[in-house]
Amino acid sequence: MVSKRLVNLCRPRIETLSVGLAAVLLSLSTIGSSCVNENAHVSVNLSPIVGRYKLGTNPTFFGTITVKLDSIVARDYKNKIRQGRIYDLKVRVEGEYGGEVAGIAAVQAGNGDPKQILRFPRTGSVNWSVYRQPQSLLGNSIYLLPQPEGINELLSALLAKPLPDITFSVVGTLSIAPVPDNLYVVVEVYLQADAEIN
Amino acid sequence: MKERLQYVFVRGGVALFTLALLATGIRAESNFEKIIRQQNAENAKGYVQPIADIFGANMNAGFSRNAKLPASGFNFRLDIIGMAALVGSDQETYMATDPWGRKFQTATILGKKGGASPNPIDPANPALEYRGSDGIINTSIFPFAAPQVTIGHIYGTEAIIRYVPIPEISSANLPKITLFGAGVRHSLSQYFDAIPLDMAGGFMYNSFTVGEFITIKGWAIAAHASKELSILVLYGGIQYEKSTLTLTYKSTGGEDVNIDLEGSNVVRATLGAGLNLGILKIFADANFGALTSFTAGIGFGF
Repeated sequence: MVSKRLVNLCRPRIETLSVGLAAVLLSLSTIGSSCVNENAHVSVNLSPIVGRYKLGTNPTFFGTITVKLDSIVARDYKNKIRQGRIYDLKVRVEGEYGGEVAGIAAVQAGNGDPKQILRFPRTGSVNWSVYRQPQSLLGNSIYLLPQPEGINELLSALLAKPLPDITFSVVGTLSIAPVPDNLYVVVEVYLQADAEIN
Repeated sequence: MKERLQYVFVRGGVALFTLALLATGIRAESNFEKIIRQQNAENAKGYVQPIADIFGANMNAGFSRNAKLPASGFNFRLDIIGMAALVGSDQETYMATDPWGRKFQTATILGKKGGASPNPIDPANPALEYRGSDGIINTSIFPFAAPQVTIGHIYGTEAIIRYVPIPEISSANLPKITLFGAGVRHSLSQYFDAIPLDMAGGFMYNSFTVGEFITIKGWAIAAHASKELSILVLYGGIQYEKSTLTLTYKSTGGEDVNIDLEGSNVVRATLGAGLNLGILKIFADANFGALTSFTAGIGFGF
């Protein structure tokens, strides 16, 4: 008897509650269709570009490598690159040498002009042994100086269609002759690109 | 999309409701996978943690709508349950690590634009930054759904099953998806005549697998109470739960990554109300714990 009275009292509220519950269900079923971020980008870590240049017997050295940019961009992201970044440049050396070294790394997109991308050290020359430990931009090395011209050249090349071949070169000098065999300068370029994912 | 819808309709209503609610997750899955593969284990954990929290909370929801369990007799009920967890602003960012080990704030999967770690050698130069990926889901509420069958009763005990098998549909870019849950509840009030509430205790296990990439498993132990007032049922409960999201992938750096992420929801209190309209049941409840979530559903049975 008490419960019947309670039901009569509550009936309007119960009907309202029913409508409310149905509305909750309906709205739940529509959530999700419009909440994927448009223009979301994935930050793609591209394969590092590693140039290992063998030095000759002269105190001046020069070396080049050619990289197909197409080969360092995964298939999923081809034609989807919207912006690039060089998040690190590293220089290290291999081999024993008692003198000093100074060098410049450059980048050349397609048949364009070579543009400086990095100087090592920033000014003058430093002992070869400084670079026996890899020097890194991200590591805030005082022995590296990035060059905007080459950085912009490489990042522009990443946006080109089709992706061009890139020539990396290193030119530099050693302070003392004779130069022993098996000396190498290694320059590594670490690229990241924003790619569309939708 | 067309193939997906055709498939959904072929599979029938249960799959329709489930897939409709999971559409975000499925659409985002391939993008999700692309982003995850770009990250090392540490950063992937931070990026995905909100999903572990939310799926864990959602999956362990909807366990009970009524603690009144008959002592015996055949009873069958099919519920379609929608769960939704609220996304907090603290779930939109995390502290990632750049390749040099420095921390920077960036977006989680539920965040907006990715953050950046400036290069110390030229902090103002965006061309030298290391960036995190953008979030891919923009929502303040994250839904999930499950069909649930309850069969009883023997000695005041009922069994609960959730099961949705969806085979891989390569034309629609859908991986194989399986939702499985099993539980049991037992009437406690049958032992205590003097208590004016119906009471039950139960255990439930759930798993949700998306391809070979992501698996979420969870279990819950709960105490439920309810009071029937004619067709109105007021119910509540306390639940202790665990959930683990496992990600398995190979990063673009060649690292085999296997990540286990614990869901943040461990204890929840539930308050809800339902209507018994003959064979039709409607219910909704709110769940309070590390995450706040809501459950609503419709059931058919006797």
